Formats: sequence, structure tokens, C-alpha cells
Amino acid sequence: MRVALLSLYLQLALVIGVLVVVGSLLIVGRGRFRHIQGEYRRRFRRIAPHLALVGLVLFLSTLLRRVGTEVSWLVGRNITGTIHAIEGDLVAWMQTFATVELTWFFTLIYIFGYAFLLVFPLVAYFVLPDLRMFRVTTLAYTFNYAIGLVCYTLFIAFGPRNFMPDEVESLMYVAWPQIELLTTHINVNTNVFPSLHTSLAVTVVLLAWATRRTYPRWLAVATPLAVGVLIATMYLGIHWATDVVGGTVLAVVAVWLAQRFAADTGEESPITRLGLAAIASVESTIRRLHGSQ
Amino acid sequence: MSETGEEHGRPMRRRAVLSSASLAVAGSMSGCLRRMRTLMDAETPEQVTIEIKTVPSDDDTAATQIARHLEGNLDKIGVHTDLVLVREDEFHREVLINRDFDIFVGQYPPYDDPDFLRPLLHSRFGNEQGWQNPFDYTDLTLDEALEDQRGNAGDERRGIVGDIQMDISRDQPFTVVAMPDEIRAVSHDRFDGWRRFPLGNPLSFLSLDRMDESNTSLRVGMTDDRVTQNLNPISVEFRRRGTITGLLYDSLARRYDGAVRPWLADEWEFRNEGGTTIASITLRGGLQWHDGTALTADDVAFTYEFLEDTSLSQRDAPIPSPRFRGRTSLVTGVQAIGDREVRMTFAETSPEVAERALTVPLLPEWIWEGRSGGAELGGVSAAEHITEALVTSNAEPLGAGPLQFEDSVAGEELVLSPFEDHFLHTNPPENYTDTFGAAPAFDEVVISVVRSGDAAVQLLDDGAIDVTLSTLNASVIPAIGQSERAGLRVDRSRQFYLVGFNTQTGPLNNPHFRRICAQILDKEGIVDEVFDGFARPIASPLDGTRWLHDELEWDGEDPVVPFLGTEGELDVEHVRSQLTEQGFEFGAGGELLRR
Repeated sequence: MRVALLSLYLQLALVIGVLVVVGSLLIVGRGRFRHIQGEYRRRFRRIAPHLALVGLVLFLSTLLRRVGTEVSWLVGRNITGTIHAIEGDLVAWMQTFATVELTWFFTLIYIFGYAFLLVFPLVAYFVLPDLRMFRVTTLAYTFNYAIGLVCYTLFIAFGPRNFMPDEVESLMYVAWPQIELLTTHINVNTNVFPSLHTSLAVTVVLLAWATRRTYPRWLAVATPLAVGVLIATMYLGIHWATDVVGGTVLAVVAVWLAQRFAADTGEESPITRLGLAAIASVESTIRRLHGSQ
Repeated sequence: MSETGEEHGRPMRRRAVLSSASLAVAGSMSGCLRRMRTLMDAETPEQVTIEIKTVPSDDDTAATQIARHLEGNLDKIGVHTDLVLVREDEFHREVLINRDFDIFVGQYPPYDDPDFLRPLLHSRFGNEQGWQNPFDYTDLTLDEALEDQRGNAGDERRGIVGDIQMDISRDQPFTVVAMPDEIRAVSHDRFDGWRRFPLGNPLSFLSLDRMDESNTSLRVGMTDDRVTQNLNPISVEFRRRGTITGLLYDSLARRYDGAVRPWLADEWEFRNEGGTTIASITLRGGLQWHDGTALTADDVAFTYEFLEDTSLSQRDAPIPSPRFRGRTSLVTGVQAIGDREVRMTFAETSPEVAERALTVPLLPEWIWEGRSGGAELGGVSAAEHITEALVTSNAEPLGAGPLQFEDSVAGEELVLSPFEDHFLHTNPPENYTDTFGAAPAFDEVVISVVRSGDAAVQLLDDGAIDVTLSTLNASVIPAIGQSERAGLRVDRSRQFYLVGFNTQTGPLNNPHFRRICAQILDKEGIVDEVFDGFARPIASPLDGTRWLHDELEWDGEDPVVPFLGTEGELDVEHVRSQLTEQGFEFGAGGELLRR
């Protein structure tokens, strides 16, 4: 099964790669890339620690997912019934409009559209003269994930496809069974509230709005994509509308926190300074080892 | 003096007025207070609230849907119903161990003999864990009958078991819903011989033929990942029907082809000594555990002692293994005589029933003895009534079964290999080689966790796996039909779906209410919509066996608790009138009120 999972990740990487290249040409423009020629190394050193931070949170969440789930069953509150009591059969109603084409459309948005939404801003903001937006983005992602994880531990919630299988089908898994390998590798079916898909998608749109003068086309692309992701999470029976609302609130909070805490310049950013120091010490160690040979 | 008199008169009159007034006030006040007390003490009728507990659709979509159906109809008759979904192992913990439920919907593990009804319903098991009377049900007549059937045989026993079924369907401590078909996908190109035994029976792995010398690895798909987390044969939360542990661990006898047949035991003999049934059992020679240690009568004696009390008398009260409880509760004593002889005594049990006890997995003493202590969490004793034996994950299981443990990756896969020194290969009895073959048909069994039934069929079609061990949903059948490699396999099962009641909580402690709960279940409709027709509606847990009572055969509707409605629509008025007849009351908004 490892091979199947790997091939799925490769598929994902390939498609995202192509989309990012196209997006870079059409939305960012070759000009910006040419402009920073020669600065790649310097910039990368400055943003690497921020990427590492996001990677660390992701890595820890994977590591702790099993433990977190057990803790969740111990201390968490089972709110599936409450959510259903609040919102009723909204998702079931959405699925009454289901067609095979719509299902494939939303599946592709949910998997590929979403991944592209998350990756592209990192590329687009990397080539800006000021790296602050990049830092804000990675911080926003980190806050989203961290707060999301706390919510997952505190709340146990199954999605509509698990709660009311008579009315809500797992449309994505019926259309593309193998993708379940990927989705269950990343998340657990009790972690439905809040919708991290929603929160990260809305985060990207909020940031796109903030950079709307620099990248007007990005806002025009990101917004419908994000709306598509939000609809997809419900249409595919994975999330309740309540989760989407919760995710939106989480996005606002995360972006606010990120804007608040991101340093104005690279020199002031503690993460950048820490990262640069770490890279410097690694490089000097390598040089010493090299020299001693 | 008139003034004084008058003076006196007025105050006296006033006092009189005051006193009589105050008396009057006091009188009416106390009357008022008394009224208040009467009104306050009288319980304000509240709506009946019931919580239905089951697993999410990812774990067992049939259970979820049956629970939703019940929830919907309970809502219609004015009960405030909450549906609580709990992950499968957590469900077992909450329902079967902690008994934390009002109603649960689940599937009973496959049974081998009607005696399973004894631990399921006898009142003396109400305090125990696992599938031992989770309903906390007490009925003295039923208790007697359950004890009776144990000591009887043949037609006599059949009659008693028939009465028991009628009792159960009248009082509904639980409601049986349907007997599902077991749907699986199999391919025959690399390994064949699957048809000899129902898939799911461990023996189905032992009757295979290798279609080509190069086929070394039998690849199995399972949608339940619990076998990759825990291989403890006596764990309640982690076992479904015990197929894999039934291959890792062996027993004195196994039940197949309609009878209990010698397995690790070569032969046994029953005799009656003054009311006590005694079995003299002889083990085969040269039996070994997977690590080469000799398996002797001492191990047998230890196993039965241990399953009866996993704390080995270290606690005030015995802590038996909830699994196999029905079988081990038949045994009153076990004695090892020499290396290969075992003497087993049973109280008030006919040989026909006593044979059940021989199908229990044998455990190696030197490993399990050390697990008789209390379960600990980080070195601190966690609970008084749970031994380590019940919660250990038994990560590297050591048994005497035809397959042995090789490797496992939690959540992903489990690898087993044939045990070369198993008696089936070293010393098979005459007719056994016809059924089981002299040599193993594979060099290893790789069990992979697959995410869903659809994924399983895809993998089978791609040639990545050879068979699905987990049962699949009827929705995969079209995909199986379209596949070239995957073949459809449908077996009848004995794993009925049931709605279990906590008979100690109101209003479920009222058998009339329970009967009505049974009657708001449209079993035929459920079979159609939930199982796509791949199930049978049933009125008795023994449906499909020769033990079924004639009057409980399904004839279009439940003969004892028929659905109160037509064409799938509940007749709410009819149900309300039935409830009213039983003394229930309804509120202004149609809510069913608590008494």
C-alpha cells in the first residue's frame, strides 16, 4: 500500500508543479523572477526557517495524530449530534444536486485546487521585494494548524457522511476510492470541526486581498477557488456547514495573529534570525569537516 | 369603667380580629404552602430522552443506518433521541465494558451453539464485562431455562431452546434486526480452494491450493486495522470475529462441518459420575508452541484456569476473560494428568454442550502468567477490575496455531507465516489431508489494511491482493461484477444485528416499551434499504439454524413484534395509542412523557 500512497503523492506534486509554473507566468510574471536573480540564495536562507516551522507543525501533527486521537476520546466532547441538531440536513440537501460531473469537479478542487491554493502564495510572495508577506503566510498557516489541532483534541465530530450515510454519500470515495489512502494519511475522520480545508483556503483569500494591489489577478483566481473548496467540503459530505463557519472564524483569527506577530523586517524576525544562525553554524561545521580532511 | 371597658374592648376585639385574621392568614398560607409542596413534589413530567449509541458509517454503515432509522421513528413517537457515534473499539469499551448506554446498535459475533444465549441473558452475568448480559437483564424463568438447556441434549434440549426463544421475543431484552450476508471479493487465479469453508472461518486458510509454485505470498485485504494494533485473543475491543487470532492460536478441538472435531486433542471421552460430566482428553503427541517448546497438558490446565480468572486468584473477585466466557463458564475443574492427559469436569452440562468448551484458544503459561497483575498506566495501577491480560496488545503473539507471527506495522499490515511444526504438516491424521492438504499453500500471508470496500475491490482487480477478509457492503457488487479478476463470494452469516437495551433505565426497563421499540423497526425495509437485499429480516437470533422455533419463522413480518406501519411508513397514531394503553402519557406537543 506504500507504493500506492507514494504514487498518489507524486501525482499531486506533478499537478501542483504544473499549476504553479503556469500561475507564476500568468499571475506573477517573469519580470519579478528576473528581478530577483542572484538573490535566490539570500532569500531562501531567510525564509527557510519559516518553512521549517510549518513543516515542523505538520510533522508533529502526523507524529502525534494517533496519540492526539486517543487523548481526544479521553477528554474530548462528542459534538456530532449537537452539530446536526444545529444545522439539520443542509449537506444532504446539497447532495440532491449531485451529478457524476459535479462530483469529479469538486473532487479535483478539493484535492488539487486546495493544494495549489496553499502552495502558490509561497511562490508568489517569495519573489516580492519585501519578504514580510511570505512570513505572514507561513505564520498564518502555522497558527491555523496549531489551533486546529487543539480543537481536534477537544472535540470529537464525525462528518455528515459518517453520521447520516442514508442521506449523505461519501461521494469522493465512490468516485475515486484510492484517494482515501491519501486523505486518511493526512487526517482522521473524527477531526471534522473546524474544517481546516476551509480555514486555510479563507486564509489564502484574506492574504490575497491584502496583496490585491500587487497581485490583482491572484485575488481573482484565489477567491473562486476558495469558494469552490468550501462548497466541495460540504458537497462531498465530508464537512458540516458548521465546520465551514468554524473554519472561517479560525482563518480570521490566524491571519490576525500572523499579521500581529510577523516582524516588519527580516532583521527583526526572531524566526529568521534563529534560522540564519542555525544555517550559519551548519555551514561552518561542514567547512571545518571539509577543511580537516 | 366604660372607658377602660371600651379600651379593653377594642384591643380585645382587635386581638380577636387579629388573631382570627392571623389564624385565617396562617391557615390559608399553610394551605397555600401545602398546595405548593404537593405541586412541587409531584414530578413535573419531562420528555423521555434516549441516547442511541453506535459506530460511524466508516466502521459499519449498516449499524449507523439502522440506528438512524430507529432514531427517526423514536422521534416521531415523541421521544427526544440523541444519536451518538463512537469509533469501533471505543464503542466496545463504552457499551460492553463500561455499560454506558441507553440503546446500542451493533453486530453480535458469530456463535457456534445456542448456549451462547446463556452468558448473553442469564442474570448472573449482569455484572460481568464483554458480551455477558450487557443489557443487565433479569428474568427468573429465563434463567432457569438457560440453565436447563445446558444440562440437556437432543430433542429435550431443542424444546427448551425453543421456549427460550419465545421468552426472548416476548420480552425483548434486545431486538434482533437482520442476519446479513457476508459479501467478499475473491480471486482464484493464484490460490484456490476457498469454497471448502465459509471465508471468515480460520480453516478457510488451511484448505487452499497453490495454483503455481511461484505463488508464495497470499495477500489479504482488511478494512479493519485492529489486527495490526493488537493481537490479544482475549481483548474485547480489538477482536471482531477472531479469524486471525484463531489462526495464531489453536484449541483442543475445532467446530466444522457440523460437529466439534479433534484438533490438538486426539480424542476425548465423556462419562457421567453422579451428576457431574467428566471428559478425559488426550492430546496428540509432539505438539509444540511456535517457539519450539512442547505443548503439554499443563498448558491446557493453565489456559482454562486463566480464562476463568485472569488474576489467578490475586484479587478478591475473579476477573474472567470476557471472550469465550460462555464456554469457560461450563468448566468447573481442569486437571493435567501426565503430559498428554487432561481431566475436565463440568457441572450440570450435557456432553453435547460441554464440547463447546474444547474450542477455546490455548495460551502459553510462561507468557500469560505474568499478565495476571492489575493493568497499569505508566507504572501506576489503573483499575482494580482489569488485569494486564485483558488490555495487553500482545504485540508478538506466541501460540500453537497453524500460522505464526512474522511482522506488523501498526495501521498498515500484518505478516504471518505457516508454522512448519504444526501437527497438520508433521503428523496429520488420515482424513485430515483430504481437507487440509499436507503442505501449506503459501509461504506467507500478508494482511494489508485497505481504506474501504471500493478500494479493496480495486486492489483485487489490480492484482495487489487476492482476497478480502473483511465483509464488504453490497454497494461494491457492481464493481466486482465489472472486474475480471475479482469474483463475488457471498456466505450466510450468524452475525445478527441487534438493538440492545439497557433494561435498568426507564422507560427501557418496561418490557412493553421495549416491545414497542421493536415494533417501530421496519425490518423488511431495513433489509431492502440498508443491506440492498443482502440480508434476512429475523425474529429470533437462531434464525437460519435448526434450532429456530417454528413460530418465529419470518413470514413477511415479525410474528411476535410486527412493524406498526405499512409500506415503510410508521403509523404514529397506532403507536401512540399502544403506548397510552400501557399507561404512558403525551404532552401538548406530542412528546412522550416520563412517568
